[in-house]
Amino acid sequence: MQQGRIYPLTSLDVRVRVLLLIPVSIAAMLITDETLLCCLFALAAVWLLMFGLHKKALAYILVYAALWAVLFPLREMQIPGSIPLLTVYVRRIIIAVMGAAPVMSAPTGRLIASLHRMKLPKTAVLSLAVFFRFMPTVSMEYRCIREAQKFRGIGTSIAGVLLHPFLTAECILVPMLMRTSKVADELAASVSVRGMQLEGECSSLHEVRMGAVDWLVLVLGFTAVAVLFAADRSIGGSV
Amino acid sequence: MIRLKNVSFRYEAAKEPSLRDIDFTVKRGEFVILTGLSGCGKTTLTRVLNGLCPRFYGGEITGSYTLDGMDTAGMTLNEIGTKIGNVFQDPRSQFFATNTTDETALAMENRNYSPALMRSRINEVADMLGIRELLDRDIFGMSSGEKQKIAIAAACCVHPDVLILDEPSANLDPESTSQLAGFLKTLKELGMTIIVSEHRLYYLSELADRMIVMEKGRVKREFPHDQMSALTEGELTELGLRFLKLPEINRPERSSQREDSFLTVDDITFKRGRTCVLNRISMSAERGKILAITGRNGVGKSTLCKVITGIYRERSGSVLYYGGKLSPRKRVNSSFFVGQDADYQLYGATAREELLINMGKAPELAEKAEMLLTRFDLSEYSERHPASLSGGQKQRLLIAAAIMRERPLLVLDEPTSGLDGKHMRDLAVLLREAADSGLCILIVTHDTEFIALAADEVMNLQRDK
Repeated sequence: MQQGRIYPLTSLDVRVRVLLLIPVSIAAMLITDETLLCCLFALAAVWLLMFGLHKKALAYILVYAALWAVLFPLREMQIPGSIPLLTVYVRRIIIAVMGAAPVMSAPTGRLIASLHRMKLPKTAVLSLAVFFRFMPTVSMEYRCIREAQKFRGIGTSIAGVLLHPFLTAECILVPMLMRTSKVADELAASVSVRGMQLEGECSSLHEVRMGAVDWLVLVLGFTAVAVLFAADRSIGGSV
Repeated sequence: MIRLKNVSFRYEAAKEPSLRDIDFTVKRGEFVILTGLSGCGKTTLTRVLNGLCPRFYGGEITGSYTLDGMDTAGMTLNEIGTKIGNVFQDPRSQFFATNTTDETALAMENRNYSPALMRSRINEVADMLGIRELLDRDIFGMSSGEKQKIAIAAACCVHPDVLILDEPSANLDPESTSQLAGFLKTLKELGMTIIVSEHRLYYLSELADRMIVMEKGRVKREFPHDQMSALTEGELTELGLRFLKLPEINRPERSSQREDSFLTVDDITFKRGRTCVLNRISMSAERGKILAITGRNGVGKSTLCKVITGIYRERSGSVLYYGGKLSPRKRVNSSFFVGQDADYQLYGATAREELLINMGKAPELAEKAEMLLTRFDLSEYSERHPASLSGGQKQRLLIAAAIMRERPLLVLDEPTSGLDGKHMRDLAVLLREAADSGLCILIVTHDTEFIALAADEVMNLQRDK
């Protein structure tokens, strides 16, 4: 996580991030016009940059551009089946994932406090908090497993993976499940003895208050997505 | 403060009880060490004390447990948790928050403290432990020692009467371990009752009022401070324990290169993002020798070994095996890395199959696997699923897999974290045999006792400023 440097939206209320995720992901799925979809993607990229998530933004831009570049030749060649479809849908999913990134980058304490203030049921708050706490762990565990497999020649060559896809998957999934279930168990034990439970009131160290900037970003965000959406409807769109 | 009477506990899925007839009293302000061989039941005992058994880890408990004069039978985890603070072993799985201050506040938030009270408690505990500079930081970027300090602070904020720590030194370097001892001393002087389940005894020997040695779920011996201090190395070895004093290490320090070495690392630089993790490191190692790589938490020891074995690609410099420069891919095929967590590294359906993965089906190989299983004391488990083996057995199985592949270089990352005295000594013997058969062995370790037993040479990795 970036420390010391403050980006324009670093301290944006987590609720705004969660609320804006909703229209962005809906629009990402429903906008039909290619140009407008690209506009939405550009907005999402700017959104990430304002949180200082430069690397993520760059990675998504590259993937998006690559998919876009192959989409039209594929159509020209009239290749049937799932590949052209993939280039359409993966790009839409990327936009939604980009919308979620600033939620994940929020410190868990702030996230929980905000979700509480949104009056979500406690089960939902805890599940979401655990989910976001787990994302970095899962990717770390995955890396460790892949590193260890290199020494046993498992899944190291493309040919090997293609010849034995199930074996490769099993060799990743089994240790992954073992590890994550163990970590999950220990994590749950550690928060249970610290009084985390489904009943009862709890408080929050962070004061959560919507400031002027938070409202402004919320309104601007909604408006931008609404304008794109309206434009798309009026054109009629074409996929 | 704590009184257990005839307590036995059996985990739901287990046939045998993990604790049998434990009678055990701890007075207020007392400092107690729980120790014993791996699997002796000391972790289960700490779980009974903090209420996780049977409230979280289901099972059958008999006998009585009173805490501060109250019968715990009717108490919830939350109620026990206000009296007992906990520090668990693995820093990766005990933190819920990503920010240190949030983590410290968690137990108080769950109990509905006001924000003002939380802030004052956090500051109070941070001052008491001298860790103000660690507040409001990202936990994922911290060293193990720093994480452990945050875990202790988080446990102390609700002012518990008792603090229970489960192998708190397992991932710490010697300097962080002595800082941990300082923390525990401060807390003891404040009158806190402290129970530490631990294999490493040296840093606790001055502090402890009593040491309890467990075996097969029972309390085997109890030593008050004076008797404990009088234990000889022979007696400790007999009990399977580690020693009370750290040995002197006078191994030749190895840092320069030699012309004729098996492994030569020449001027390696490795960066992660913009951070330079390894800056112009050179070293060498021989076949038939065990080289211990030491250095503080976070100095880049594991990273260096991952570059040497080819998992990471160096930014500049070269790694030579037998004087020839090898690409990372070739290095992976000439070495074997045994990481800290065996669960990542086992893929077979049985222990035997584990040795034969991707090895082909030649009958000589099956024979060789059989021989290795026997040599590593694993033949009776050859049909078992590797995940069902104990920690020590998994580790032996991995070393056997390395020898099976006839890789000349074997690297072990912190092989003795969490190992008791007996298993640590056994591992030293096993690695010596492996080295004598011609392997070049590198061990990343903080464990001074193990270095004294196993290493031929020591290299201390330092971060240059």
